[in-house]
Amino acid sequence: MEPFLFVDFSRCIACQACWAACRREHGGVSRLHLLCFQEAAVPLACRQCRKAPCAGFCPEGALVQEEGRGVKFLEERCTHCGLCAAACPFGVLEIVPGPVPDLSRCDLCRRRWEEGLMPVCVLTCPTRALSLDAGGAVGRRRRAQPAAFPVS
Amino acid sequence: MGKEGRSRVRTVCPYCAVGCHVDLLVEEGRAVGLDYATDSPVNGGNLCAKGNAVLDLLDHPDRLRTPLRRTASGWEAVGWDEALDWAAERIGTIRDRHGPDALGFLSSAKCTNEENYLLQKLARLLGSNNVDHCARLCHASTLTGLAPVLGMGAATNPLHDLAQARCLFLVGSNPAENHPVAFQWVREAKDKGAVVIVADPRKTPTAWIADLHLPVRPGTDIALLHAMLHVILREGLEDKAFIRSRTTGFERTVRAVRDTAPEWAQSVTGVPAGDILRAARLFARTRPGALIYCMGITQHHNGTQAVRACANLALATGNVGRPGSGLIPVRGQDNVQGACDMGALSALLPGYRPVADPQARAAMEALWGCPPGTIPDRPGLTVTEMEAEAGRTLRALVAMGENPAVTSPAGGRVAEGLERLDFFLAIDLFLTESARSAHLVLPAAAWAEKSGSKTSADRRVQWSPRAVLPPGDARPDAWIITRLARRLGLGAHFPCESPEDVLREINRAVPAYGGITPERIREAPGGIHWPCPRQDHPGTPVLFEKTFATADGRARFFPVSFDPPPESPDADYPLCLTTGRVTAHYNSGSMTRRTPALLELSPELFVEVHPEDAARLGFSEGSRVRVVTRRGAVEASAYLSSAVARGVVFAPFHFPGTNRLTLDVVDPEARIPAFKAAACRLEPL
Amino acid sequence: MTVPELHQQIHVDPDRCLGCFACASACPEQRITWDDREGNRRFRAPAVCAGDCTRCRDACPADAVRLEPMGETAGRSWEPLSWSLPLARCRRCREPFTTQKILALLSRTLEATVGLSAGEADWPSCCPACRRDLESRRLLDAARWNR
Repeated sequence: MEPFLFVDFSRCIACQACWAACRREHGGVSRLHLLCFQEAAVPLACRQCRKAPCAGFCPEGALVQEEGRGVKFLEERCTHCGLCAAACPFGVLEIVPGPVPDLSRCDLCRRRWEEGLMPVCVLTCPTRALSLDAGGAVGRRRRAQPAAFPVS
Repeated sequence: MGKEGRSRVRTVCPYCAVGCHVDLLVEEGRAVGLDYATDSPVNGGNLCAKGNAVLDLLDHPDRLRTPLRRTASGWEAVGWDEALDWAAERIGTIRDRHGPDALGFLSSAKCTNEENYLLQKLARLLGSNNVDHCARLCHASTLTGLAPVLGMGAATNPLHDLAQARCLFLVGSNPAENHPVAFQWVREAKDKGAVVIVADPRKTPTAWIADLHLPVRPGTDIALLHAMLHVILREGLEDKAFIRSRTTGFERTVRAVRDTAPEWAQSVTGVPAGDILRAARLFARTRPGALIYCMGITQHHNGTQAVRACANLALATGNVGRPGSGLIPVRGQDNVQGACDMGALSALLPGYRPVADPQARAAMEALWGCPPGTIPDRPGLTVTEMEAEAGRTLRALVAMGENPAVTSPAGGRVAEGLERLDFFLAIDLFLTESARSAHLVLPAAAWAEKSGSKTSADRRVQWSPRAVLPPGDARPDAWIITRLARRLGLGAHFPCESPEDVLREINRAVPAYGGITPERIREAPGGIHWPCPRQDHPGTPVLFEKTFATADGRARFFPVSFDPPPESPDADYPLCLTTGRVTAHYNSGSMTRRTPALLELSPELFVEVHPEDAARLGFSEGSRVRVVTRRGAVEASAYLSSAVARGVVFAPFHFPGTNRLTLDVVDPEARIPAFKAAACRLEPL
Repeated sequence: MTVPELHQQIHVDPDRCLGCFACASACPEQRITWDDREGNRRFRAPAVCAGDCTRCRDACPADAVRLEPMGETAGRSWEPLSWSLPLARCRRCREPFTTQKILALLSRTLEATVGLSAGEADWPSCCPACRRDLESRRLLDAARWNR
């Protein structure tokens, strides 16, 4: 079972609840982006790519594929160089500017996971546009995308 | 939570009227975190953006922490005794000199039932019916519109009941942005195959899932509703059995819509006649159907009539008194329903009994233990009337949790009125735009810093317990009102020391709350829906299943006539300005404009304009424009979107400025201002 | 002028430097700074460091930093170090977002790391905001196709 944040944006109503929940949970910076369009909105967060360009590009091995938990961030290895942000195909891994630039990327609320709790965005979403898709078909398909299809 | 010394306290969210549970994680009297009430029967843990940012209100650096007295050299911190003594002395003196009608009290939909009950009681024991609150600005038309139709003006069905509807007709209501948690039941209904029809000048996120969107011109909703009823009657789609057995007055309404064909309505509303025809057929044929309306209906010069036009449509299709059907006015504030129930209205005593009714006054005077004749028999001044009279016949004003300088129409004039008062006492969390004009500002406790009951949009009465300590020397409003009353010589009538005691008095004052005792409601995980007249009564989620609350038990059709908005676009002011909310902000913004996350989402006043209008006027996305009406002008950023109809300009009302533009015409019955339609022009800067 | 023994001279090889933030983030005194201006990312560092750590050198992913213990001060340059790398502009919004060298390295390594040839991946030339925008539009288009 691998968890994957599945976004059904046809259910999204652009209410920003996920964004606000994520921002609160992660110290004032949301790791989830909500893109609003005419008549639709798309929440975007880390895809936990199976072949993750961020992990491949990290010179320190601080981003690694962890079986059952997607891409894991090993903070003690990170040098805050920011190369991972350049490698993320979806722009959902970002460097938060500051004296020591910080890495902002959805980790499916790892701290909560360890307490047996769901990610905050999934819990707060009123229309169930966000859900955890554990090993489901959608997750497998979506996770295969960065390596399988070019983005146009 | 297993953590040492940490407790989890379930509170009711202080923002909108869905009544969501928010669990606070508390250590040593301070909130250290928030968690989702996943086992709540109300919201199942879901929260909107504002609910997620709610902790920022506690311990906010801008919170008032001590009473402040205005002096020539600025604000001076004073102690509670000094502040209350002075307030009582000023109020007492002004009452002695000018009479009780020189006093005004603005109660608040942001305060608990107990606090609203106490403030209206104080006003009336001082001999004034000049007590009112912000429901006047949002759903006053629901009270005046529905009371004679159904017998009471409240949502007939609980919000979660929307999931059972097979057709949802939303008129002037945008729950996706303004009540996102309640929108889950609209979504659920749609998942089960329900038809969704949305009438709104803008293609809002609510309209994204609509099967049919009717982009109605602001202020012409009655024409649309009439045309739909016309089609239903012409095609014989009405619920004849329901009309015969449960209603009266149908024939006059039939006559009123005889000439309101869709082709006529198309010319008035701008909605294609074919779509009106489709909407009418869908709504009449797909039952049960719920009609959800909001401020797009109520905030007009004819708000009361528009509410009745909604009611006529629901009654004609038999969509009242059944699960999955109903008339659902979605209230905006966490306790606006309760503040109305408690009689914080200039013409109504607790339980909606008119002040003009001698028996009602006598009953209340007996309960309060005051001499007969204490409560005046004439309705007092409404919010907008108090503002107009400020500094004239009205000499002193007490505003509890209200910010009229931002929320009322022609805001500039309101601010001038506040400055003219002999004494203005503001009780609030923050030094709001209005409080800056006050002589004395008292620091109030926020929702989680006090206990009390609140009534959500669907008449669900819930207890929200105190979880944390207020910052500094801030106190609950109930404490403040009680201490003030005692200093005004009314101590004998204000014996209650706790919110529980006050609720027990409410049990006796308001029949619908008769069985909603503190003991019961504290233990009820999803609260209790009023009416709940007795201790052993389970509450009433769905109203009017067997009989209506009118004298003869039947619902009454009211013929409604359509008249166009008082101000239509013309050569000088060619566009129509309409106002509303954005998802990040809340009403006057005194809370949300101080919340960093919400400010990041929506930092400033903007106007939404159709790209073609912008191109014609020569400005582009992000340009600064001046919005001008006959009342005033403000600057805003332009946001171009084809979600808004051509010729319409939308502005959120959360920022100071919008209501300097709006029309200060009121509905003759509800006295609600016509916020939703004004003529304006845009000038690129 | 006397100099404590622990001083070390910093050497940076601008040809090796990628323009990342590793050294700047690593310095406990925040002596290494950078700013993006006029199409270049410009770094500044002191020529001589009073600290006794080697964090900037250790963090550098390109081995561009060399630290030399200072014995003799005579004839040494005290001029602060300054070096620049050209920024890459987003092909959609034209905003600079990373250095050209980082992007070039990314293109070279994508094949080895995730099996994408340079021609297959066209997102590296977009800034993160445009990547998000492109991705969400692509998802919306895909959803419309499926409908």
